[in-house]
Amino acid sequence: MASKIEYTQVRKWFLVGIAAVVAGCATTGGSGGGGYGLPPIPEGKGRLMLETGGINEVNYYVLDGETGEEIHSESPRMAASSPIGYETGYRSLPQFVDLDPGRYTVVVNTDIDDSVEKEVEVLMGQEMYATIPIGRFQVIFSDAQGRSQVPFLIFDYNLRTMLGRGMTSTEVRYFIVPVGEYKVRIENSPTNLDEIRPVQISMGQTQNILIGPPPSPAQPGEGGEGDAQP
Amino acid sequence: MKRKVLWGGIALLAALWVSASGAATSALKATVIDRYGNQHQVDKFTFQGRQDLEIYVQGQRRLVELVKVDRLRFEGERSDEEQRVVLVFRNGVQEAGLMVTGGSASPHQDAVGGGSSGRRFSGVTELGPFFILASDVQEIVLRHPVGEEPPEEKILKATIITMNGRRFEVGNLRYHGKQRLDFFRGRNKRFIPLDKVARIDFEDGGTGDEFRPITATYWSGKTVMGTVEASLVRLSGETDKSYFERVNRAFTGVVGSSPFAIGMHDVKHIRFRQDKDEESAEDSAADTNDSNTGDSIEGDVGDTVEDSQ
Repeated sequence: MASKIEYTQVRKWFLVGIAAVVAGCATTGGSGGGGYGLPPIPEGKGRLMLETGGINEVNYYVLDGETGEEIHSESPRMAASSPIGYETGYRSLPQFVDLDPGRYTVVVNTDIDDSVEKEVEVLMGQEMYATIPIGRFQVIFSDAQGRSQVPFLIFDYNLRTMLGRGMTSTEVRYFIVPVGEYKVRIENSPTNLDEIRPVQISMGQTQNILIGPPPSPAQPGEGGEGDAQP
Repeated sequence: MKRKVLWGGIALLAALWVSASGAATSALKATVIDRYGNQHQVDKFTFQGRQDLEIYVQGQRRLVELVKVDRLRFEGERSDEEQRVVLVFRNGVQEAGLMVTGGSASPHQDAVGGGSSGRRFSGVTELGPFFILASDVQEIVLRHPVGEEPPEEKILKATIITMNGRRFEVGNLRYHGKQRLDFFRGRNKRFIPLDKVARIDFEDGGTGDEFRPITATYWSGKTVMGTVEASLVRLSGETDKSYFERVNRAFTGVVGSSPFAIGMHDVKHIRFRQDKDEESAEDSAADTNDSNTGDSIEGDVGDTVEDSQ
């Protein structure tokens, strides 16, 4: 008797599980059906989603696996060396593109010479996650006036090869590089500044590099510039 | 009992979900042999989550795709920050280089969430997730699917004509260690696979221009236009060596048996040769020799080598 009850319970859970899976399959890409989130996958297409460790804004493009033709590209980020670049907002959804079924190469451009490539196969009606091994770091440079913009170079760990250059920002600004270890160098001869800092990039982690004196906390009664008396 | 059933249901759902969602992870398999001689059969094999290795061959940085490698052997001590590594490629070519393996280096204090060296090989074994520090590895044998052809890597041969009219017949041509030329289309960075290109023409950039327009013509007839970086300006913080390499060693290769290097600012035209061209050139050279005409072959191959080393 007990074994029959046990069997019935197992069968019930099994059926519940199957029903949940079937429901999940039926709503693939349907998270947009509730009015927010991702829209449904168009008929006859599959979805390629970039899994970038929490970095939801990268410059990338997609090449056809057979012809090598570029069929899609997005470039929302400014160049690392641009003086006007900073993080403009937070994007909660990963980047994605709906493609015809087939094989593709997705290329993610980083802020150094090395790009990250991934070969993927997109299946009709399915979401394919392409894991892109990239991470990010921020260089915060402060002087007597506070945070300021200075150019810096990104080297490989041995300081043998210059891989890229960047510009710090007075705002929040991240630099995206493939996972690995690098060195960042800021040199400014007039001020005798020469800082070399190692950068360890892991997927999904952020490193902040502070150069210069940390901004002192405001004292009680001390106002900002707008409060200054004439 | 209910709890068991509940966990069983959850495990079943998780297994089905994992199999249903197609995460594009590494398909590489490898046998990792550590310094104690233990062998580990690893699936989804990666290095730092990447499928390439950063090695230095004759001082030049190169990213080697693991899919092209048959085996690699570390020939240093565990404590070495940099070890000599011997790579045997799937096409039989053997190459030695240096690889930073970390040794006893610890992460910098600024590394948020750090705590261990990032230089590790990782994957999955039958026992679960697997990782091993690069400094603890003795040898790695990649296990590629039986019968799968290794990715083809051509040895590119090209004729380079410089801005002042000199001509070089260059073998094993590479751009910063790669067989592709990075260029910009607007502010978007793209690449041209050099093995698919018939010729590249470099327009004259003005003195001090940081970019030069190029036109690449593929073997298929397709034409691509863009700009390449050709700056001669020394950047603040750049070392002598890195500056010299960036400016004067954009393209590297061999001329005869000597190394060859040239800067982007100095190239006027690159014309690639296919194997058919090579054969026909050899045939014509043989015919020329047979007929004893005494004409010299055009070009100054091997006469002048810009060896930067």
